[in-house]
Amino acid sequence: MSRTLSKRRDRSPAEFLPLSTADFHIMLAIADGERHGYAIMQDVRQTTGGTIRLGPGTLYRCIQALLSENLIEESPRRPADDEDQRRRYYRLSSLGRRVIGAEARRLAEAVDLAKVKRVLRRVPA
Amino acid sequence: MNRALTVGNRIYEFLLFAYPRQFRREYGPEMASVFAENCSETYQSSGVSGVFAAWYAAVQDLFVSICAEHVSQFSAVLKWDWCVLSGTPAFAAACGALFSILFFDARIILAGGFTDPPRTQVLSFAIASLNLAFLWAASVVALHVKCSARVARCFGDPVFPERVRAFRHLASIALFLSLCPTLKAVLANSNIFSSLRPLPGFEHWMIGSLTLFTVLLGFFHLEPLLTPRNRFRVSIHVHKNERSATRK
Repeated sequence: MSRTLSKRRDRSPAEFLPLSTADFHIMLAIADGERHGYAIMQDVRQTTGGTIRLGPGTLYRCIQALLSENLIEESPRRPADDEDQRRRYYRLSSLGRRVIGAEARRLAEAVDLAKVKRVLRRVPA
Repeated sequence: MNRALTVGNRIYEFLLFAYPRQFRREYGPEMASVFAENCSETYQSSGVSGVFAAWYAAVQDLFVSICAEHVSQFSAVLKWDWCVLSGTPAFAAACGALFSILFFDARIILAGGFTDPPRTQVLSFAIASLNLAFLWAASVVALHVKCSARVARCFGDPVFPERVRAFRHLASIALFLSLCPTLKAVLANSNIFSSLRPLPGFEHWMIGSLTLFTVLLGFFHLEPLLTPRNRFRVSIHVHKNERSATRK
């Protein structure tokens, strides 16, 4: 129902920023290809070094919100015969790809600023 | 251990019933699948202690996400109700009557209600609750009664039942809010039966009658005002199409 209340119009990527941490990592997990829920969960855990652990409830609430915002979409791919048939695969939409690019740029600018202000020092090799 | 994992998965599937129905239907099977895979893989890598840790995390996650999902669905429904009811003057009037009762409740609670004798308090709360119950019942009946030609014409309009449903939803929330102080006042009063006798003054009853009159006026006698505006009709159709597309 929430999706029906939001006005359907073309929104620019900047309007979605900043993304929440969970949303950003979920989108990042499917940036290089479609994945099912458990694979997304695993990917987020691995790429963040276990800092962010998404439970099924949080994961699917985020997926629901991202689907309603049209940032991700369900892939037509279906699980193989030896896989769990309840799986569904998700991938980035074209809008989602632009949004995650904009978010990554925003974060990169924040990192640059941290370097300028000497908050972030280069780790010696 | 496989049997224990299967039982654990069944328990998790059972716990998923705490989610709102729409969310559970959409994502419940996938969530159960993710949980089962997680438990199975954790057991292979970390043994029984890992499974317990997974369960602990899952219960925390369930509690937080169930509460969050209910709150977000509730607020979305409220927004939708408000959007539906604010479409026409007649429904806005009915909605206004509903809120006037809520203000009546608030006045009793905040300004002198508790300084009145206990019998007056109980009676005031009971009357306010009764009025809300009338409103709620009127909206339920309006959804089911189709015998009158006038009502049938209204129901031919796809927006009208949506409005009545929205009104019923708001009325049930108000009824719940009103019943809580009523029960509190009843429990606080030592002599419940004597408190239910009517008071000499009729001001409380007048408020109830006026409210009912306003609602009936809005539902049946101001029918031209119930005719939706074009833009509103379009938005309702869009909403319905989206809902059916989502189900598919």
